[in-house]
Amino acid sequence: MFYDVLIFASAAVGIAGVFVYSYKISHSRVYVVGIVREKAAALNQTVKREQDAEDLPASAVLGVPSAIAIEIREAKKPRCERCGRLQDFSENRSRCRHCGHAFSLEVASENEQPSETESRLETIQAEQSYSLKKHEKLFMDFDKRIRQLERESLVQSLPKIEDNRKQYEPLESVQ
Amino acid sequence: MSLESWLKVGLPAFPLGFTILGAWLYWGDNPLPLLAPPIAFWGLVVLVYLFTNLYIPDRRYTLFLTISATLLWLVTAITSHNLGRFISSKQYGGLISAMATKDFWYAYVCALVGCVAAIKQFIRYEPMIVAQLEQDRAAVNTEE
Repeated sequence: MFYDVLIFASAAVGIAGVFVYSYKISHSRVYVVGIVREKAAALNQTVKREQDAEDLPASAVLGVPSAIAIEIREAKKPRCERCGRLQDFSENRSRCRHCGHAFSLEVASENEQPSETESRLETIQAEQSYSLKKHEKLFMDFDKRIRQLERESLVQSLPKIEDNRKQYEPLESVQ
Repeated sequence: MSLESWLKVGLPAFPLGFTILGAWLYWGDNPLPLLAPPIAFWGLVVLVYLFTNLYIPDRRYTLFLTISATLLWLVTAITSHNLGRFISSKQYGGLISAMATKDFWYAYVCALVGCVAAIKQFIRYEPMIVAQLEQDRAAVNTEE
């Protein structure tokens, strides 16, 4: 009797568990382990590119290609719900190119028109903030240069001032 | 599926292959009590492989699925043992008499449920795992 109950209960729990969790897994967003490492590497590359761009001399910065804006645009692209990879909804794809997962209509419609406008606005915003940052650096360089020129002109004019002083010193002593 | 994927799914099926080729065909033993546990074990190992490669944020569905499959393997092992005792008794008179026992059905239903669920999940998620592996390998090669 005990054996029958134990076996029946275990089998029922096991079969129910297999069915329930198979269903739940198939309706969840499943990632493959290792994707985090890839994102971290991409983030490091972005930070490095930003640092490289900042290290450029200010004169070489005007008219730079907006690499950061392109990256922001890439990051805002829709991703597959299952494998998390970038997808291009503009091609009217109904399935993921990598895992074959069918896109839900909500996600596709959300990403059709507004995403283009939003990405354009974000691109413009990113470009403007980027150029503003670089202009600030340029103005700081100009300011430094002006101060340096002032200092140089002052140093050049010092001997003349000394000569003038020497000329007028005897007169002052006579008085 | 690539050769590597076939190897991944084929290696855990070795106990099943040994039961069929060795115990049944070579030694001529009765395979009925021996087949069910390797079938369940095959599914269990495939699920463990998937469990170590897949990640669902804030959920432990893969772990619970593996535990459920383990439970099914346990039921299969116990009932197969009892089925073996029945087969070695005088009451056994062929496949039909074995199918009349509860142990036979518990053993094979549990084994097949666990195995089929695992193989289904493997077929579904293995392409993703392979793609990710290829990307990781390419990244490692680039770094080197």
